[in-house]
Amino acid sequence: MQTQIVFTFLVMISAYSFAKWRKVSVEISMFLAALAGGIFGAFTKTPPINQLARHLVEGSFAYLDVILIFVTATIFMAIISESGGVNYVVKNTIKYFYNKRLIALLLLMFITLIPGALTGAGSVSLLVVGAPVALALGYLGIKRRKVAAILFIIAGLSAAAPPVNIWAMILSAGTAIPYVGFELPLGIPVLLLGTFTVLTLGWKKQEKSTLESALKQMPQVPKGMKWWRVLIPFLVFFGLVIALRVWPFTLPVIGLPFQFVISAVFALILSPKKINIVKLSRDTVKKLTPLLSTMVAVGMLQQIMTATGVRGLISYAVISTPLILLFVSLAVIIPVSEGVFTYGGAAIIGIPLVWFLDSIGLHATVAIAGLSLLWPLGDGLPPTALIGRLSVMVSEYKRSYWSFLKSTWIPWVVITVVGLLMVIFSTQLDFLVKWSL
Amino acid sequence: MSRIIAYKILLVLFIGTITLIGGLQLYHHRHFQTPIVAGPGVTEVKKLSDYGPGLDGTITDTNVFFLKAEQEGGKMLIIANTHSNEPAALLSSLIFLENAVVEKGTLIIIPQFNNSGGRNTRSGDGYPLYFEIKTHWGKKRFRMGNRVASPLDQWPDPDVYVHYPDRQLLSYLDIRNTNRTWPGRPDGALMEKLTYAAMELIRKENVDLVIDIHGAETMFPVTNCIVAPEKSMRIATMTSLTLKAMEGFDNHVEPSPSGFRGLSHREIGDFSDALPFLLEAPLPFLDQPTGPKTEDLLLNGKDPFLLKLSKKGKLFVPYDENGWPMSKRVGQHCSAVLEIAKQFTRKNPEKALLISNTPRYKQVVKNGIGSYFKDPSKAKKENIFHN
Amino acid sequence: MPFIMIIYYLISAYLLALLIWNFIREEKSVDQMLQYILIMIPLILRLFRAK
Repeated sequence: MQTQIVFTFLVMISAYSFAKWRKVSVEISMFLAALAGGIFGAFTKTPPINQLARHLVEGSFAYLDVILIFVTATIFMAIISESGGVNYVVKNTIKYFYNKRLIALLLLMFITLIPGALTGAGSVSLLVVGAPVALALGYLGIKRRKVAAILFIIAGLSAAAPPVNIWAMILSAGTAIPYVGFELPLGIPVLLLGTFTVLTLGWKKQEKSTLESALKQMPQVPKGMKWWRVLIPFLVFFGLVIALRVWPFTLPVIGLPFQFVISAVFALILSPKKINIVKLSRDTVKKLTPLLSTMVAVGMLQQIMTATGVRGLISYAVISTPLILLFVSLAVIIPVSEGVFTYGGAAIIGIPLVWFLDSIGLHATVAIAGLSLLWPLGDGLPPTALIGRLSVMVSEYKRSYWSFLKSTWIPWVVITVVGLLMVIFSTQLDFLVKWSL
Repeated sequence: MSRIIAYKILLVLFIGTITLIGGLQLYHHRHFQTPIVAGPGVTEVKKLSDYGPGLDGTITDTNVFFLKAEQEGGKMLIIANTHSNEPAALLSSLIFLENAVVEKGTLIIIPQFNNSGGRNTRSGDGYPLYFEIKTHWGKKRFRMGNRVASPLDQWPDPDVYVHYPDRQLLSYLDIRNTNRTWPGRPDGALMEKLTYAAMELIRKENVDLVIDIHGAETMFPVTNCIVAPEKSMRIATMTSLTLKAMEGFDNHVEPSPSGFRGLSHREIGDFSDALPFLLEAPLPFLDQPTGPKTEDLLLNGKDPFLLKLSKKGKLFVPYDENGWPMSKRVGQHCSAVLEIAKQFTRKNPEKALLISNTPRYKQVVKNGIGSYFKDPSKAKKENIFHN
Repeated sequence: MPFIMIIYYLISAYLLALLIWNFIREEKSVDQMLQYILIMIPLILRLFRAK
């Protein structure tokens, strides 16, 4: 049986590598790996061939609710952006804090953190606020390479930030650990590491610019845009989040997607310019397609890996690795798994890992929080490099990708160390979870 | 026809076929019926919706079987399929349902408690859709369900589930987990209504003992045990000691934590006069480091990875080449239920509960589970029940 | 069916419609077409109440 499982795993790796070599996208490569693994497994009826379609279809449901959160949250943020709200906030940040560098940097960091924190996807941060924030950072005299590096790290941290952290959600769902109490174990390190990143990479003014020239070059804000038009939709969203926790027994369960829909309706009504919502939704879904299909393909891959025993094999390998070696290797394994599978890495390696860490007495919630600081780093690594490529794109950095990646090394190392320490000392840090509840 | 259109048609046909085949299998699974044959002891069959609002007409409503003796005595409720991916519970409850004769007192059985969960599948975990138990008249087929209710019956989930009434924050998924929604409420989410109706049953029928049957991973410390709150602890301890001494298997006692809310062994005790117990038997199928998730693994519990891990001392139960067959797990549950009734009777002779014609551990292991299931094709129509 | 659940079916149907539209409009990438159609699988089966 074990030989069969090892061969199935090899078939899946080969199918994935072949597809990547043929320039097929990561999402479809994962789907093809699942299909190939399922067909190979069928030779020994693991799974039986007549169950293969069902396994693929059933796996596609694993993250359906996450898909709906992605879509509704991103449409909400896209409306804010289309209405001119994002440009308004960025322009005013530059206008009022150009000479107060610390405040300007921190505000730009917050602006980048919010969309990813709400949606769980760093790419949404870059798609929605990436371009104006990159411009603003440029006007603060930061070189493009460093602008790209800042955006990459902050967008990655935004995905890890609460309330929506997809890695933590996948791990919690897969290990029957409640997805609660993550606010402080995620929020505090994200803010500290974010601040460290913007100050390390952005404190030094490397290029000359003046406030006047900066303001002139910034995108136009539609007439009539006011601070309350931007603020109210966010107040509605957070108001709903808070209200549902304060009055859980009088209000019905409405779920995050509908909360975003309600907030989006407010954003639409308050927009100073008319927005074609159907066109905007269509374009948003088009931009989001790689993320959405990733979630479907990851679910399928996870299902086939379990049905064939490959997930069990990986799980066994994780449990059998000596503890110290395991901790050290996490610094590499976690980002590389993200680079190869995006969110699939959390399902394939993360779930068995968290089971194991939990069983040896570590605090699962803090350990998951620590691990989910490491995963976003992998979004800069090939073959996917989703966030890395987007950061380079929105900051218009034209030189080699590696030179950009090299410039992220200081925050990369610090984030890795913090993440690992959170895993190793998770039991001592459990007060963060208690304070969150 | 342009190439692009040709590709589109091909893709629609390819993925459409996969979707259609897989979708139909999942649809059939949701609507598959396993006939339950009411045994000689069954005196009345009700619906859980008779006890609480909001269930009537939904797929969540479920059968409640009463086995009432002519002589008054103690009352015991057996709940199975709280988690429908732990099938030893259902099989054990059916052995009681199809065979038991109650000589004194009343036995109440809800074999498919989370009926929605029993008709749900676990996405991403690659379970088989069904499993079959050999009997002398053929194979009896059962659905393999999920730990939580189907989103087709309760959707959406909240971002965080706030437990009623303690306000403890639990995972969003747990709002569909009927071992987190106790004691429930009449105007809550559907699964809260389900547990509320069960609480009403317990209170209105003056149930003395409630046994919720489960299964757990071999790598999870709370396995092969009886979980009991303070008020049930004495009977649980006596049961555990007697089973070890008389029948030779371990079934240690775990205290029900008072700080972890929503669980049957905690809330039933706190919100009624009944004594709750939760039975756990090892279920290697649920462990992470196993080979393929096959029907064979589910029924026999044999796995090469677990065997290796057992030798490294990583499991919480004894494990050898024989695995953990279903008959062993079901046998343990049967003995534990009978022993709890016996210990309760010993302490409360005025509320005696005497159950006969039900096998114990050794008999189930020797004869096989299937030997206790009746052939539905030979049973009277009025004795056959579907949920 | 509760009102909130109906809204979720509407959200799913809206997303499905957007995906179908984008699939029909896609003129170049087969990879992209396959991605659209993969995302449709759970949405279609949820709307048909199969899973």
